[in-house]
Amino acid sequence: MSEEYRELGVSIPIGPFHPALKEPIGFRIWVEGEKIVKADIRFGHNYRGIELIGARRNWIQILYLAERICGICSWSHQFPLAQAIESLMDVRPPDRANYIRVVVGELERIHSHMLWLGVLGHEIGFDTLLHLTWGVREKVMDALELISGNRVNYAMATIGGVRRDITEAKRDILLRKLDDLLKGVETLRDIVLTHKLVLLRTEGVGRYDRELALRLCLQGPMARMCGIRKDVRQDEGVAAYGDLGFRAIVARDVVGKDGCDAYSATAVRVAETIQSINLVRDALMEMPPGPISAFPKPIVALTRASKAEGEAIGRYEAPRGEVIHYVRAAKSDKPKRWKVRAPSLINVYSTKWVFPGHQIADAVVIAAQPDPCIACTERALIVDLDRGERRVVDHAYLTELSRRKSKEVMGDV
Amino acid sequence: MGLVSWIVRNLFSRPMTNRFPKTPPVPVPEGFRGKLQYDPEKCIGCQLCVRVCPTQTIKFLPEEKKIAFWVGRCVFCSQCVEVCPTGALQMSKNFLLASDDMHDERYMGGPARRRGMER
Amino acid sequence: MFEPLSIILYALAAIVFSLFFGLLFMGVDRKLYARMQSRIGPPILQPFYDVLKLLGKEIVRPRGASPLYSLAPIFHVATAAALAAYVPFGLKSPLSHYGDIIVIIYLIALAAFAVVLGGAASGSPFSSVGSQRELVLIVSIDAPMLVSLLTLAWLSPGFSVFSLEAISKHPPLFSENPLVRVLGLLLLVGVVMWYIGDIKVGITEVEEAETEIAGGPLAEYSGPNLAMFEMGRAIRLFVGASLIVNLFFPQDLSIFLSLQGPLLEFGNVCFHLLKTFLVVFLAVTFHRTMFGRLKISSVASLYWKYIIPLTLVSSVAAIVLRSMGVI
Repeated sequence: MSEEYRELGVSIPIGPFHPALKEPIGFRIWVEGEKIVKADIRFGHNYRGIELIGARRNWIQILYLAERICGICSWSHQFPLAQAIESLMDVRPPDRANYIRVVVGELERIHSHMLWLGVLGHEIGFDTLLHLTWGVREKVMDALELISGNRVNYAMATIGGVRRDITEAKRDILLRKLDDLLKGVETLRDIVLTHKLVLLRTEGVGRYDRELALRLCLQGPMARMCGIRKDVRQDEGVAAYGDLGFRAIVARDVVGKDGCDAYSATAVRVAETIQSINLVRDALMEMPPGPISAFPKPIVALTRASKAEGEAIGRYEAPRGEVIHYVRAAKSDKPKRWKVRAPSLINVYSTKWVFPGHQIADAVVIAAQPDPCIACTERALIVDLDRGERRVVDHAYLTELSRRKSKEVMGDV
Repeated sequence: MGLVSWIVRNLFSRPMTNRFPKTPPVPVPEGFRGKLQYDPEKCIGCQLCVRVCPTQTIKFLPEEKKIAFWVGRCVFCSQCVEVCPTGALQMSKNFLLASDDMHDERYMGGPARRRGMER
Repeated sequence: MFEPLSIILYALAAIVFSLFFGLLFMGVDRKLYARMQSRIGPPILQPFYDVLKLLGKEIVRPRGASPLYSLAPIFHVATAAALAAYVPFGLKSPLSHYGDIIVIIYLIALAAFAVVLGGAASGSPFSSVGSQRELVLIVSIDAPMLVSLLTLAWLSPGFSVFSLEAISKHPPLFSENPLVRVLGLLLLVGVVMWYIGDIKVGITEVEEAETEIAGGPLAEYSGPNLAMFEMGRAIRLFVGASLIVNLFFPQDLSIFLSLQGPLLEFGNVCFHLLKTFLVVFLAVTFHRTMFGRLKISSVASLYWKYIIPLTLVSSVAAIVLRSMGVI
């Protein structure tokens, strides 16, 4: 802790382990009475070195490693990786696979947003909301289990398509489940968006503005709550989203204005949940017949991928924002480099700018507002064991490191 | 339906919780991915499953030309089932795999004399 | 008759009685809370298990704690116990001859103050924030309670002493005069709001606020010290509801049944427990199922903007109407 911080007086640690947090991350807030005057965020408590592990596994194997980057958005990491590998090999998945990809991705978004809503309820001490929301959420989990055979890690994406088909019988069960789900979500929407306590705790809390949101490059629902209509599904038309006529929702579509606060974030997420249910239904109804994968067996895909060369990225709109997977191949069955950029990295850092001026009670709402997924985010940690201190990585240090590394690499060439 | 009617209805209806293990578990759907099942008779020793297994659960036994696996490492992706050319590997519906002994018999698969291999 | 020993024994019995039913109501509250959320919930006796287990644990003292840290829980539980001996529970209270409403008001404020002391003595940032919040809460909730109780005493026809029994004889909600009934209703709101703030559930759970400040003043407490706070809370849960019943719904069973002697007394205690439970269910369980936690600033403005003016208006109205001879 630097001298500048010590002068600020009383500080309250929220994390790395704190009842409000589901994953380890260190927020530290400096307070005067109940008012927050400064905030700082520390990452690195959950670093697992996944990218390095990935470099030791072949193309098929890392799909399942990517799935385990995060517990909630398992599809959102597996799918962009599969996309990246596909573009590396210059393969297009068949149409039916694209529609099934939409179904799985949207079901995952529903369950992620419902989970977030429950967490918000818990953060503001409204546990009834948590339990009711998660009760409704069980229906989505059942739907996902029906399609993929597992509730959380669906293992659906593969190189060149998807691994399991949605049969007629399953489709009918799924459509019935969706009707149930829609009823539950609409009831929840009516409760949440009008409940006096939710309004008191979220309106004006964690307020960004449009300029700040643009400057900080907010992602996903955090950008959309500020009225920035930005969504990979809409902008890139990945999978079958282009066919389904998808248009992203911003806060003013739901509540009439872009509040840029936690209430707008709630409204956007609840509206997106309902939109996703409709998307799944559309995708199920319009699904064309045909094969579900470009390759008959994964081993064929692996053999083909081992011949690929070059670099590629895969993009997808995860429930929290844009996920980017970068891969680089060099005619090997293993990636030469695999890099993941998750949306929480940006969104969580952005909270640092909105903490000051709020009360301590708002801190948990601000921390929960971006739906932080720490497991997705943790990518680097520098701890100097010799001197027993943590080093703040600044621009100059990184530049210096890059130059040194470049010289090393150049030496090889 | 408002919040009040919802919670009052909850008060007079059964809780959502399934009292497992006092009651039987919720039935799993078709295509559920449970514990791996292995039929050594059908296995031709092609090693495709070893190549695609993301967690290196499956080991090849060169003398017998068969495989052995330890379910403790399995992530139930069912990739091996998909690549197996003879259907020697199958996913069962058994998910009751909790144990306090990592050498539990239930975790082992493969020819009997190589059981106990977990690393 | 003045018999110190029997009074002491009776008072002890009253304390144990309040503690038992306080813990039991806590368990029932948790169970019903869970059922309203579609959960199974803990066993009804869970608060008893909790307290017993905590009592058997070793005492851990944080390094920066002051000596008050160990005294505060004792102070808290002793105050709560004294409170239990002053409030009737279907029978006459053991110490009814030795104090009036003023004593009860003092004890209620003291019990909450013990929590503030304990939190401030713990030396943890969470506890000190919690203690600050508790202080704000005390300032907010005790004013409406004070005004309401004094107005109630003023409303009762034989206004001579501030005794609970005098008020109980003439419950304003059941008065013949409709004006008194309206005033009684306003005062009921004031006292119930005090009760909600005193036991800190639902909207006023600001001081423990698990997800914000990790338990507030009690963040550093564990083992027998925490058990004492838990017992004090159980007693206050019961006694607070009991006080509301005594002030506003003091009827005994004799209006329904013609019972005699010990049977009537037993029936009265049961009837009182039923009424108390209904108060706990509505003010605690139902309320905390319906709402979450407010910010401390919203709590303060809720009380100072709405509840305190409400009780003050009814108080002034009571005085004016009384002097005009209308009531």
